[in-house]
Amino acid sequence: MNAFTIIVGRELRLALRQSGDSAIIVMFFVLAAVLFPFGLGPEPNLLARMAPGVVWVTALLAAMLSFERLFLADYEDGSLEQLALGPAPLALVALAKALAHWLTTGVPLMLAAPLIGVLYHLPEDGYAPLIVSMILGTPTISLIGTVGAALTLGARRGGVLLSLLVLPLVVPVLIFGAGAIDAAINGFPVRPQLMVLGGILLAALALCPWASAASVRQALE
Amino acid sequence: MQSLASFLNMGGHGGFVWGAWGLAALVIGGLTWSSLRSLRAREAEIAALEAASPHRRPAGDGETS
Amino acid sequence: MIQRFANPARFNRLAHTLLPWFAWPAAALIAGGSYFALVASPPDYQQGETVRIMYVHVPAAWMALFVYSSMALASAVGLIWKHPLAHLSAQAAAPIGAAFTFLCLVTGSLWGKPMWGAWWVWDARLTSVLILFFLYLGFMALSAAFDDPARGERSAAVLALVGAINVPIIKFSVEWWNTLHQPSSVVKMSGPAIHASMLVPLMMMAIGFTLFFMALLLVRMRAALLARRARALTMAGVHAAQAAG
Repeated sequence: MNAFTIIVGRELRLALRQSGDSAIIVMFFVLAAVLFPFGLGPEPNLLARMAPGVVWVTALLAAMLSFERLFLADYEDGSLEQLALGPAPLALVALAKALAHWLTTGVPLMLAAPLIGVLYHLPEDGYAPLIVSMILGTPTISLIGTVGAALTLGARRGGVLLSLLVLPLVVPVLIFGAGAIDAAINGFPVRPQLMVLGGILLAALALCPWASAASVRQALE
Repeated sequence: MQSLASFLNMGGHGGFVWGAWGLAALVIGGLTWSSLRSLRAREAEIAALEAASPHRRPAGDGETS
Repeated sequence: MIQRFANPARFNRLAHTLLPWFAWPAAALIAGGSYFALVASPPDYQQGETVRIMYVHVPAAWMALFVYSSMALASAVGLIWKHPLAHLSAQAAAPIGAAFTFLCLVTGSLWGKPMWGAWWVWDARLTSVLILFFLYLGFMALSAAFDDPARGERSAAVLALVGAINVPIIKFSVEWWNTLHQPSSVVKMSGPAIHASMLVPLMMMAIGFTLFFMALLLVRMRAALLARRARALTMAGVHAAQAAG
């Protein structure tokens, strides 16, 4: 576990050095959510109904912007090869990167989400499921995005391509994340959705680090 | 047996039914045509390359070194 | 056994032998199936003649899934055992699968309009096929996004496997989502209850499509192998010219 904490620490230091990146992504998140009322009108009931979906979709879109640089800097300056050759398994490195990404992107998005709830007149019952579904869902997005980042290393139009690849794969998280909030504000049970989100997270934890490692390895070939 | 006109009409939904089947024919035909055309083009390319360097290995196989 | 055909020359001979056995039965089954679908089968008592679209739409949906599964299998073989033709077959299959997926979506739309008055319904199966379409497009885009084609093939292979694992999860999620948001009138593209006179043309079209896919796959793989050899010859020619000049 020591190598793991070292790598996570390294990733966090690098990410925090460029803390502006996280701020921009959160700003995009809020801005994108702010756009919808301009297109659809500010009628409170409509916005309240849309809130769960809008929060989740805009969070996904904002997260997509953050993955391109996940491996890129290390790839370009050769540190990725060092990591691949080093003592820590590459899957562990990928997991560490995903964790650091979640801490510097997923968590800020999660903290900003209630603000969008306020803008959209989200009923009070919706806030707790909003946070909990994001706690369960954003790590999955970080994990799947890490696979996408590894797959598109060195590709042309890597950023947009990554979004094209990752978004279909995170649709289940979107469905159950928004579904959980929706259920809460309509008086339906929330636990089933949250359980599914948890299950998806466990599956992602088990599979994504290996997939990321395999992708990095063949990027370095 | 129904007339040609009513066959084409498909109970008023001729546009939809024939649109769907027409698209299917287009897709199948298009895939076939494009795949065969690509094969012919590659074969011609290989023939030209091998004519230009006659001392290379014979036969149009895909052996790479 | 498969390793024997890693050699492109042997593969070409095998392909040459197999091709007529796929192509002619495919043509016969598709032609025959079309005849039964369009002429010799009864209209549905509820949907009338539009049910004939089912004979294209449903086999196309099956092909969309079948081709993706074979791409995933080929990708696994290519990544684990490094069979030289594995990635090639996935690359050759992708456009065919994407075309069938597209056909499924559009025929689904053409089927839905006379039935429910809308060009698109967010039915569970159709929506899952839509996501599958994006998985195909992603595969093809990723393959083409690298200057080194081999890197593109390998990347896309990993993506195909990740996608394949995800497909059941996506299907489950979309079905759940669909039951949750179901409008008051139940909208299902499952079509009428299938009875024998409808099953025969359906199966003929499905098997015909499958054989067609396999025939086309052989053709495309041969073309891809030739392209690979052409690249090698061109490189050798360049090197020879450089050495001489």
